[in-house]
Amino acid sequence: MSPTSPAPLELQNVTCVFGDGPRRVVALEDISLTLEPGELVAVMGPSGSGKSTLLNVAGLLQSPTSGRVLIDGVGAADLSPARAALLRRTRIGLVFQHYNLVPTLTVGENVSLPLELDGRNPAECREAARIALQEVGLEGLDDRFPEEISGGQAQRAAIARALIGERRVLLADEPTGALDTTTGDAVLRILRERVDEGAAGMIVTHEPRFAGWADRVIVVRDGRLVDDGGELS
Amino acid sequence: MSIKHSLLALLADGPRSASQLQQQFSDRTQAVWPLNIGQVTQTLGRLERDGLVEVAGTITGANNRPAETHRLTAAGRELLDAWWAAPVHRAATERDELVIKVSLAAHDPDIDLIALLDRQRRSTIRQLRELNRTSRSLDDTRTADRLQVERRILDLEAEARWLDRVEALTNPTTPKES
Repeated sequence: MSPTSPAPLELQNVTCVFGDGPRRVVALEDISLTLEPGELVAVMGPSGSGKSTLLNVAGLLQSPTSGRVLIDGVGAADLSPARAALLRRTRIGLVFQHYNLVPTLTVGENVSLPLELDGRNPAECREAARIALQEVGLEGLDDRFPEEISGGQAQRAAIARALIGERRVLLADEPTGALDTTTGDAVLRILRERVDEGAAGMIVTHEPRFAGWADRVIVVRDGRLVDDGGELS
Repeated sequence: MSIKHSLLALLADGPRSASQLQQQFSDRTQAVWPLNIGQVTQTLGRLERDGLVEVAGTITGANNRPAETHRLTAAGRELLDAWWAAPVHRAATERDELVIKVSLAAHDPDIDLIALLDRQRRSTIRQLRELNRTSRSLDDTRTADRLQVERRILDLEAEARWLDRVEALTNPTTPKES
């Protein structure tokens, strides 16, 4: 990346408010954050503090009430809904606690799905999925269905899907929440490797062991970013 | 660390000289807890005095000098078996500085307790990060260095969870001083 290249993900003074009157809840308040390539940021904080809302806003799943979200320097709010959806689909990969693999598709089809939605030809999609699965240690499982693989394998497939193609922003919401410590470690190791190869990653976690894989830890409390003490090392 | 029991465990394999015991202990624990030859000979002396080991013979050491070898006695074997069978109780830390610090901060309105907890949490996670890096270079086998790293990771994880728990508690009411 040249020194003038925009960051893969940038949040500028993001505020997110739900409801109004007595039901008004400020989920996020004036949050600014930049993720650089090769950087993994862990988001920690008490339950209900706004961590998942932050991830949803960063992933363009939720529009902020005010402030801007920029993906590779492009402001999502400046685009039409269709262009914003395209930006999300082609630049951002999402990983959830419960994998969110489509049960009626094979593992390979799940991984290649984002490329197929982009209109790439089927043979190219299959080959890309095969390589992506190989990179996360799941070679040979292309034809299995999600119910035929373990939780750890499903999460690795979800990571492969999240970063297939040109996607360089990986957002993960409690990706180890349903896994035991050993499997969770293996998943974080893969996530870390993908980020080391140049992706930018943000992981919401309440597990200090897994936050220890990040370059930077930020704490969100009552919707505010209260501790961004810079890099861990 | 119990040097006494460690030496008894190594002698269960057969007679050994002090330098052989030192080397074998180092090999089996990846030199995580280095033992010097003086510690080994002193401990062997005490074990012999207490009837737990006895002289088995003499060998020619690496420096061509004669060296005594020791073996377990029946009493030594019995003590070793009891050690293997008994769980290890971890001593409670009587004066944990962090607990004391937080206790005092909870009574002091001039101290920002939440900021204190955040600083501590960052430090804990920084240490976890260093250990994660170390663990990536280790095999998934029960070697002493791997066991040591895993133990430390879980200790730090417990500390971070403790910080979360403290954050969820409320400050005590400070009694008025007379």
